[in-house]
Amino acid sequence: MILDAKTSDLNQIHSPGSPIKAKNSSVSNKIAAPKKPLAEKSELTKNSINNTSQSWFHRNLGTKRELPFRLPGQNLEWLQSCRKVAREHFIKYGFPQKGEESWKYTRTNLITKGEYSFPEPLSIKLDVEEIAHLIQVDKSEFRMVFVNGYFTPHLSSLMKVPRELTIKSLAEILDNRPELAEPYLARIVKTDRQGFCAINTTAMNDGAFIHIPANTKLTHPIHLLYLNYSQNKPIICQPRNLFVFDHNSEAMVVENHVSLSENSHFCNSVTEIDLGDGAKLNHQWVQNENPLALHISTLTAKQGADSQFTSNNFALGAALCRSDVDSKLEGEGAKCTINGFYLTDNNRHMDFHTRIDHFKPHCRSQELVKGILAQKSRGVFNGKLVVHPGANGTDASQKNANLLLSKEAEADSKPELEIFADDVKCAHGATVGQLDGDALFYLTSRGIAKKEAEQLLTMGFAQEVIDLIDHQPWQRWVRELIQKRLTHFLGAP
Amino acid sequence: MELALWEIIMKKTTLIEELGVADYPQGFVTDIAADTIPPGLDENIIRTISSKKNEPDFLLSWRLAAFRHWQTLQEPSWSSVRYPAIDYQSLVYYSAPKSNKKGPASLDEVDPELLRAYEKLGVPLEEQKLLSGVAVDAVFDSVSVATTMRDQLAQHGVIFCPFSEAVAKYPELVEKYLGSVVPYRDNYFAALNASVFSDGSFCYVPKGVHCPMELSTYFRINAANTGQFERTLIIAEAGSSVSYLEGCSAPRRDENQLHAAVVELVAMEDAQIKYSTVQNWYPGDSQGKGGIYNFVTKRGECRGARSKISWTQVETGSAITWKYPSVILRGDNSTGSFHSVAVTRNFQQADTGTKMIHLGRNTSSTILSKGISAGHGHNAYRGLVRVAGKADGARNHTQCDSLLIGSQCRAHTYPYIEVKNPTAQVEHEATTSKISEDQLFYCRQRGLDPEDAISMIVNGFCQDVFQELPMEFAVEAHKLLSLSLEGSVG
Amino acid sequence: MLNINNLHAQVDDKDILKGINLNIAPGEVHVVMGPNGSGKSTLANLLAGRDGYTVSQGEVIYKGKDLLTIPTEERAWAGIFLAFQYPVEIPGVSNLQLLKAALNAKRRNNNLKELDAFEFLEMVRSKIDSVGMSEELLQRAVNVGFSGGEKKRNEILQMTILEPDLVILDETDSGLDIDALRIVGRSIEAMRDSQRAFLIVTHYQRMLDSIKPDYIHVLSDGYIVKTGGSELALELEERGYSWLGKGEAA
Repeated sequence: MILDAKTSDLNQIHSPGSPIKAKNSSVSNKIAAPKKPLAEKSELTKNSINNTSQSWFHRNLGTKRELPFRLPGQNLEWLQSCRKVAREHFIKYGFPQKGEESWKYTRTNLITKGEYSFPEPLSIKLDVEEIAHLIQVDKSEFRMVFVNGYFTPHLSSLMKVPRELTIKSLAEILDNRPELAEPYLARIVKTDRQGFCAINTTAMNDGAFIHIPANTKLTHPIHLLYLNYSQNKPIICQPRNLFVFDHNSEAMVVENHVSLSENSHFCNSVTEIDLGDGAKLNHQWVQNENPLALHISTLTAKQGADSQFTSNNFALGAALCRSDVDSKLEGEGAKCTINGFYLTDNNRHMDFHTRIDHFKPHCRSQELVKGILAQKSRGVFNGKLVVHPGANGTDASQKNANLLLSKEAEADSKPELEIFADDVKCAHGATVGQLDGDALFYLTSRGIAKKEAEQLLTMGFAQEVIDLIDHQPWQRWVRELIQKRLTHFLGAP
Repeated sequence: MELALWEIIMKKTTLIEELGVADYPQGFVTDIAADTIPPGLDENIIRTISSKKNEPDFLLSWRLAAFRHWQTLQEPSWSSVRYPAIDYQSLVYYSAPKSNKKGPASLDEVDPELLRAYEKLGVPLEEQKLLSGVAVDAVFDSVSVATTMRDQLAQHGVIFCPFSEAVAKYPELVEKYLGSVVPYRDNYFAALNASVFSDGSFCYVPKGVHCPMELSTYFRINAANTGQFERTLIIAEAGSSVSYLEGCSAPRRDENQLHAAVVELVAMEDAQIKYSTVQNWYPGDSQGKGGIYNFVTKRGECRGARSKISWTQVETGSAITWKYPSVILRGDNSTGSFHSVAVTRNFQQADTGTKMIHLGRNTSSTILSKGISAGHGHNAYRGLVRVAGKADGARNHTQCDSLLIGSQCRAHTYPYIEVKNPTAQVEHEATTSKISEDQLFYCRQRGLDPEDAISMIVNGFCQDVFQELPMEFAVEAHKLLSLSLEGSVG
Repeated sequence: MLNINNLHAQVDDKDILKGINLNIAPGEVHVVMGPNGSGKSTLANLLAGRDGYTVSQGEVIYKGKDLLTIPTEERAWAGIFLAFQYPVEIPGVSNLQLLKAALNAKRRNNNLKELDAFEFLEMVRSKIDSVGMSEELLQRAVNVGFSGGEKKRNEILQMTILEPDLVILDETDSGLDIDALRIVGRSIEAMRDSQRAFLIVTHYQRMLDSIKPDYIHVLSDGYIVKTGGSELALELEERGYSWLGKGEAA
């Protein structure tokens, strides 16, 4: 498959040099980077998409570039047009720039400077036994397994999917029943000034498609397992998911990202969710990739009236992980709950962003995000809550708490409220601190060794978020994962 | 104390009602002959300003360096405020009342018209009418026209004078501290100010001296089409303390006017500086026409151990406010605080907050911000709390509340928290809501009409900030707030 | 003084009051009792002018005027006082500040001279002891950090200072200990005179140990199902509300 980005496009974006910038004094009045998109600033900056983005595009998606996979739905005009728009967006804006407010703290150069190739379909065949430890949480789960982004039927378990439901590979849907995806695909996320989302859309080929029809409740969770197996050269996988919940339907979806090898890989996933009126999605996202992995995840939900979207996100692995969870409350009485937890050590960087848009009256949203930061790691929380004109009766809260375990770790927190209505109740809070000295003393005075006491309290800090997983077996599984990681860097008691 | 205060407030409020003063009583123009230079900005203009003030070479070169730097900068666009592009070449950068050519030697020489203007503003400058215990520096457009109580202050070794006088008399102090907290490279408006600043207040409190009275500067923009670029520098030597108040107003005009000031505070070991502002620049009319662009850089540095700097501001005026009074907590055990009430109504915009930069050990900071947004008002809190790696034991507590009045207003909160030290404790809390129906019903059931009820509830909402203000200012603040809210109901 | 005729009221389209008739003359003390959800608090709040109620039928005449068209604060000026079941906290506004503003608003609108700070303080001091409140509470923000009992006593203090003509007490007795209850009862008895009327809404009989009402009305499911003298309270205490039944019987 050849992507035909025109050479002239590439010439156009050649940068005339970076704009002149003021020297950044550590205490300058620039407490924020330019808020306006760069492209709107001036002619000078308009063309300054950096060389990195260009060459990245050129190397990976550019002119005459062979992709190792077939892009599905090639005869679909709407899909071609989606890809084209996304490609144009990327060419115009490139990867997010450091100066962009919402990417202020994210070290994207790890990704943009790296060399990644789209993987060939895996030649070796994985056995179910090899992934047994990853699929034992709920034996009756519906499971889709993706290896390096390719749907892998023999590891999956979709036999018992009730006939009225659709749980299939997106590629298959685009080839055979594109009408199911057309009203939603690439219409919920933005690719405009969203470089990562744009490159996913440009070359999207596979992922999970879930459709739950109206008034249907699924009792067992749907488990989407993404296995990354990078044999020698670092690879890029771009899962693309679409969940469509018709009115009053209900299901739980678990997204689970794991590395099967020690090599670096880059996962750039995009998930779009459409919840009809009264629909309920209980969503868990667990990222536990290897210490060299890079992970960018974009998830956007659109919620109908009285729908409920709960998303619990656990970022435990990878060298760099940036996760954006957004929800648009477009129907009255919708409820959105986004929780997050990150646990980092070494030089890892975790970046958790949320954005909740209250468009309609009487919606509720709630967020709890916690971070534990050890060694030289860095954790970033940026939560944005926007209450649009007319969204009266909004009730929203947002809480971020960080535990710093080392002198070299850093926590950045930016909980934002943007309110354009008056009949609202919004609150947010953020804290950064260390373990409570009194509690530590209390435990040690009861004869518990200091190290064990630290473990207990740290785990206790995490517990609040773990408890929010409304599914016992998965809750237990996540708790064990976190306990194991904690023991790993705090040392066994 | 509290009782006395509210009694005064009640009395003053009644007084205002009796007088039937309009919502911006300071909006008058004083007719006075002025020495005004032509509009435009280039190196010649800067040389002109500098030569009018007989400045030493170091200052002129500093101005020119700042100007050259400014020319390389772009106007910042990151804040949430929006305004049409400013044509810097159409502004006048220097305008002084003619009578003041050499600066007044004594109050007798001050043009009576000016004295009347200040008296009308409630800031009498004649000795017999002076507010006891307050020394006033009156700045009119580009220059200081009078400074009171100077002899009494001199007895204690406190220097309080117009900035230009300090340049002439104490050049070594000015050279040592000017730009040491807010360098001209800091930001666009700081660079502009450094290039063209014309006057302002200078205060130096020697070692161990507790300044015996409140110092205050009243800034007045009078001339049309003129920017005001004043610069204030306050230095508190080891073990000293000073409380400084700042007030301001401008005539009602249809054009926007630019005010780009810089304030630098330096607190040495054990020194304390309390800086209070009641900002009441002309806010523009109910349609959003006219008003001051208040683009100000204020920063204090707790240079010595155990020093303290506190900012208290009540911002009711200006079409646009863009300011972040900040504290650099360099000295160990130093303390910074920021207490703010910002009111926006009609089409006013405010993007304001603070920065607390914790560098020293056991430093602590407190932020209390109350934003009130009415009409089409746009009110954003933007604050940064940064704890550097070496700032062991740093503490911050931030409370940020926004009150919404009317469905067209906006309230935004943008806190930035950056912590690099595990022993730090940083807490941020924010709420946004409208006035509770229950409170309103309760007050109305007791017989208060809705406007009075709102005014009372809002004043209560701001009480924690007002109580940080010196008494006279607290009264002023209550009054201003009530005036600002008039007509906000419904 | 107050005539309620066939009053029907709804909250969120739900019928709460279904045809209330009640006449109160100056000097009378009326008690409205009834189980939870019977509409007692709705009646009290509606008379004081709280938003959120729709009156679909009937009328309320107060001192010869149609009460329902008068704004809340003007009802207060005309002498209606509601002691809240849950007194509201107003941070940053001191008790004295509110009281003085309230009293002077009323005086101003009744063409009386407003009190200055000193006259006002003197008056407050003369009354504060009778309700057993400390002067320190006057300086504190309205109801902020007050205990339940302090809040209720604060309502009574406001009542004694504002000297209303029609006092509506909405479950003022709930959450009070015996001593506080006695103080409240005493204050009400002290306020009683031939010109002033009381409408006391309560769930329990115990308030009536210290106040002798002229009439007791039992409200149930939006209707007044029984009216009697003070002896009715004892009967209710013994037999509860169930024997009265519900519905339009009354």
